[in-house]
Order: sequence, then C-alpha cells, then structure tokens
Amino acid sequence: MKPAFEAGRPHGASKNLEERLEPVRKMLLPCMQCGTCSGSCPNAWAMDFSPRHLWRLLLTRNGEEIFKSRTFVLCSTCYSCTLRCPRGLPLTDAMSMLKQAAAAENVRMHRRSVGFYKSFMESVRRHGRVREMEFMTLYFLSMKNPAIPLRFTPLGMRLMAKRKVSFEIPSRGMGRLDAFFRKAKAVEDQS
Amino acid sequence: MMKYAFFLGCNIPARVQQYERSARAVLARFQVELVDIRAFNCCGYPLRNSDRNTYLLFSAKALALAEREDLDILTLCQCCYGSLKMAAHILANNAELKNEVNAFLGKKNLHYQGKARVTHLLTLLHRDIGEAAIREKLKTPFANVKIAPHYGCHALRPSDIMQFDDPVSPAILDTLVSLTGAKSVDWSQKLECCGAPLMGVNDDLSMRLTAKKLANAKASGADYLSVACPWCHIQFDDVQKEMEEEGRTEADLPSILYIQLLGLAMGISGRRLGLPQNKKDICDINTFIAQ
Ligand code: SF4
Ligand code: SF4
Repeated sequence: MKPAFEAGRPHGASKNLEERLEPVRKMLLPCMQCGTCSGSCPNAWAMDFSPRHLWRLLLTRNGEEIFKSRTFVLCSTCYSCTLRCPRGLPLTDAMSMLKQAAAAENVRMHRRSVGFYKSFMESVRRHGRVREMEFMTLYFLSMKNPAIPLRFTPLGMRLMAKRKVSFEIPSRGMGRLDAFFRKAKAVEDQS
Repeated sequence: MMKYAFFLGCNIPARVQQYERSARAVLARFQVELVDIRAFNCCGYPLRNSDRNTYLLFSAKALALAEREDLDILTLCQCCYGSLKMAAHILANNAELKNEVNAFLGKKNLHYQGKARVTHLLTLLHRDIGEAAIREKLKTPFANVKIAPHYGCHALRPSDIMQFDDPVSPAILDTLVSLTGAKSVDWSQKLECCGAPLMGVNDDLSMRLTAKKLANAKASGADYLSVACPWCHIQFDDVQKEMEEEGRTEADLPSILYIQLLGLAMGISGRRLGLPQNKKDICDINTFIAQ
C-alpha cells in the first residue's frame, strides 16, 4: 500500500506527524462526543469527517486517517465550536495545530492549503507588509499551476495567468524581517 | 484628547485603502490623534495556522512598539485585533515563551511587557467616543435605508479573550448603524463566517459561504451590508464581484465599511471617504440621505 501521507522534506529533519498529534490529543481528552462542535460548524457539510468524528479519530490514535482527511483544512476559524463546546475545549486551536503540523511536515495533499499564506508571508518577509502583486505572483508560482483560479486579483495578475505578461519578483530589498523568520525557525526546531 | 498608535496591518494599505482614508477623515472630527509608527509590520495573522511562533513574534513586535511610545493600539481590522489580543493572552500565560520573544525583541531595542491595550475602531466609537458625541456630529443622517450589519468572527470569538461584545447576541454594530439614521435589519446568518479564511485554500467553499450570507441578507430586506473588517469587506466587495461574473450570486448586495456610512451621515463627501474605491458601486447610497 502507498503511504497515506508523505513528508516532503528530504532529510527527515522534522518530527513525525504522530508526535505532533500528541499535544492535540491531550487537549481533547475531555471530549464527550456530544457533537455540538459539528452542529455549530458552518463547514461540516463539506468535510469528510465531522469535527466530532475527527476528535474521535484523534483519541483513538488514527493519525493517518486524520492527515488523509480534509476536515481541518476546511476549518475557517470562526470559533463557533470553541464558543459552544460544553467541555470548554479550545477546538479552533486544535484545528490550527493540525494545520500547522500538516504545514510543517509539508504533507503533500495539504500543500495548497498553506500555499496562499506562505506566499502572503514571503511578501511580508521582504517588505514588512504584503504587496499584492508580488504576493499573488508568489502564490501563483508556489502552486506551480497556471490554471489555478486567481480570484480577486488585480488585472495584471489575470493577464499574467493568461501569460500575457511575464513574471517578475522584485529583489529582496532590505530583507527587513528575515531575522524574525530565522528566529522563529530556530524556536520551532528546538521545541 | 484620545491618542492611539494606528495599526493598519497588511490588507488595508494593500487592498482596502478607502478604509484608512475614511477612518482618518472621521476620527479627525472627533479629535482622535492617530500616531503612525513606521516600524509596524504585519500582525502575523496569516501565519496563525501554519507557524504560530512567527505569528507571536510579529504581534509581540507591534505591541512592544506601541508600548515603547506609551500608547494603546487602534486597529481597523478584526483579524489584526483578534491576533494581537490572542498573542497578548498567550504571552501573559507563558513566561517561557515571553522570555524567548523578549530575547529576540531585545536585539531591536524593544521589550514586551504587555502594557499596550488593543482597541478596535468600533469599540472606540461606541465606548470611548460614545453615542452622544457621535449624534452631535451628524449632519446628514440617513433615512429609509436598510443595512445588514455583519459582525465578523475574530473580534467576537473567543469572547473571553476578545471581550468585544456578547458572542451570541452582539449589539455594538447594530447600535452604531442605527445612530446614522439607517435601519439595521436582523438576519439569521448575521454571525456566520464571511468565507474569507478559506479563500486561497478552497475557493469554492469560501464562495459558497459568501453566497449563503448574501442571499440571506438580501432576503431580510437589506439594501447594503455593513462591515468593519478588511477581510470581510474584500469578500463582500471584490469577491462578490468575481462571483457575479461566474454566475454564483444574484444578490447584488454591496458592502459599505461602517466608517464610510458614519462619515456620510456626518456630511463628509463620498470622495473623501473613498467610496469610489469600492469595487461594487455604492455611490448611490447618497440618495438615502434625508433631505
Ligand atoms: S462539542 Fe466538545 S465535547 Fe462535544 S463532541 Fe465537540 S469537542 Fe467533544
Ligand atoms: S472554528 Fe473551524 S471547526 Fe470550529 S466551527 Fe468554525 S469552521 Fe468549524
């Protein structure tokens, strides 16, 4: 059988996904499977597992199923479940931790879900704030897919998608926030 | 005189410049001094779900910069608001992380203690400026226009940390809308997600959320949506426009930033409030001003 998820990093420097699930699992231990979270979630209908089901998989150590599923990717961080969970569990944070694990381990099927924000932040890293054109260019490149729909993009980007203008990424400039990113990376690697 | 460090974040300077324009125009009339700190950068919100530590550093840097000037932060964005408040909460409860953040900020001659408070524009208007003072400044209030207030998620929830308004039945935006003479309509989808966090992740689902809200607000009789967050505004303005081109919505319900609505009721010109910069034409809203 093919492995369900594939870590994209070549040298195995990162922790494995199971290990990353452990703190989330600990957090979810008091879950009593009442389903309030699923009932509150605006996106549950589009998820393959409902939030309640996802917590069940987590508690029964089905990590592989979790990272095969699209459930946490479709969480729009509305905090409705967090507001209503009768056990007071930080469920939006739990979803966020799963997203972070998938991003850190570069799980192939979830790459697109972080591409957008990674591109956003790459532009921030260069200039301190996002620059629309550059951000969309980076996003476009990171997806390596010229057919990707470029919603709410400026005209220039739409032309670019149709290959009427060429890609151009400005030079690094001052690299204002490089140190921030380096530091965060170091913290991440230690923890 | 009220004085704030004015935190714009990314989206407003990049995509919703009319928000900054209109906020400056309106707040000047209430003698609110806005201090621009050049070193402000992104609050880190886009990284909250992929790299928490970088997000925390970004938010902590913003808070430390304001703290150094002995100022509180004013933000126009609910996601910046949510991120800055959440970061302050995390750092207040995790001394180790706080030390780590400070070790880094120290190299930039900054120190984070947690003194700077974070205020959202709506809170400033409602709590600090107050209804009476706003009423005094109204010159051209609206009549007969129905507005569906959209609250947005990240200022409301998690409510114990945000302390913005009641997370189940908030009233702040309804109150502020009514102040302008407009009628705030009740709609069942009022508190639902606008769809913005899923844009770029799953555009189809994102647009479905938006379409559902637009249809519901329209059916409730609204002429406009009113928002106070640039992400929500992009969704209801730029993205709605795209959705129209793709035949995904027929609601034709434009979004007006709350501060633009207030500015108009105060007699400030639509041009100064950046009305023409909205993607969906809202200049017609002037016809609802009481004669
Ligand atoms: S609402 Fe809370 S207790 Fe109920 S199923 Fe969801 S996580 Fe478990
Ligand atoms: S925060 Fe995420 S999981 Fe929870 S209700 Fe909202 S979309 Fe669903």
